[in-house]
Formats: sequence, structure tokens, C-alpha cells
Amino acid sequence: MIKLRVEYFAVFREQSGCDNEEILTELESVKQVFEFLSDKYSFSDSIKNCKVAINGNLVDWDYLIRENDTVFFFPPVAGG
Amino acid sequence: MFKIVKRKIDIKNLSKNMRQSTAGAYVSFEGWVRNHNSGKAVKALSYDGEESIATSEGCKILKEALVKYKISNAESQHRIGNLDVGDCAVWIGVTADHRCDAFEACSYIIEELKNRLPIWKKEHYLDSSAKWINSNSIG
Repeated sequence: MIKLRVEYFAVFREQSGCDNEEILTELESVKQVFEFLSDKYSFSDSIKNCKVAINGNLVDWDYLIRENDTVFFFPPVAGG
Repeated sequence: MFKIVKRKIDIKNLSKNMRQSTAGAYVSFEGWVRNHNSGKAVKALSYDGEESIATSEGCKILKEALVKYKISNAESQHRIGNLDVGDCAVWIGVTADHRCDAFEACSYIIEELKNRLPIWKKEHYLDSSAKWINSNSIG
């Protein structure tokens, strides 16, 4: 089991009902984690429109998670 | 330098600091909160952001503009938090020898900021509904 801290922003924060949470998982890639949480919280936006960061750096969806990683899931951006 | 701020952007002071005797052109952009969008009356906006990545990505975009265009300086600030109609959400300042380079660089910077920064905008409407922009969520 791998322990992760997951942080949510904007619409994902509202849909998950929390700013962040710790999860224990046997999943391997960050994509699998997103899909699991998207299913759990009924995220409105699909993975193709979202981005992910690990420990403060943007990464690809095939990134393999490690113990104590901090994961940011970003819904579609809308700055400006 | 790029900065995320939580208070009113001090445009007057930022513009003053862009002055340099070697520059023949200064182009600035201000993104304002407008009172309507897609046929709905907007009363306010709230911006959420991941400050650390937004700051590093914003700095990267300014550096890209300095390499890509013949400009002498590029600065920008993006505000997050709760904004009212008329408030400035994003400011960009660019100086160059000539205006063409300054206009093009400024345009490049705002497009990249909008596409790349982890910043999100929620519109609050006069009819009390609200919606995250660019999300598929139902307001």
C-alpha cells in the first residue's frame, strides 16, 4: 500500500468536499488514482482536460506514484 | 518577474517601474472583470490558484517572451481571491525598442498565461447562480 496526500482545487474541491486528504492505495499510476477518485466523487471534467502535479511539479499521467507523494489534480484552467 | 497577488494590483506603480531610457515602446494589458458573460449578468468573480506552480509557470512564460521577441523587459501580476466588476485580474507590462515587438510579446504572454497557469475562475451571477469557467460542471 502507498500513502498519498491529494490536494483538490476549484471545482474538484467542491466535488470532493475537501481541500486535501490522505489516501492509501495499491494503484500504480497517477492516472489510475485520478480515475478512482473521479469515480468516487463524480468529477465533472475528464482526464484529457485536466493536469496533474506531483510534489510541486507538473508530470505526465503515466507517472508511477511513490510513498508520501503529494498530488495536485488540476481541473481545466481559466486564468486571465 | 511574475507574481500572484491577493490584493488590488498597483497598476500605477507597476507602470512607473517599467520606465527605462532605452525603451521606445511600452505596451500594457489589463484584464478586467466585466459585468456580463454568455448572456448572463455577472456580479463578481472568485479566482482560485495553486500559487507555487502558477508563479514558476508565469516566470517561465515571461522568460520565453524575452527569448522569442526583441523586448527589454516583461512583468506580470495575476490576482486571486474575490474580485468585483471593474477590478483588474491580470496585468502585463512589456517594453521594447519598437512597438511591434512589444505588442506581439504582450499578446503571447496573455495567451500563455490563460492556457498554462493553474488558476480557476468562478463567475457569480446576479440571479445568485455561479459557474466554474471552462469546467463541465453544472452551475
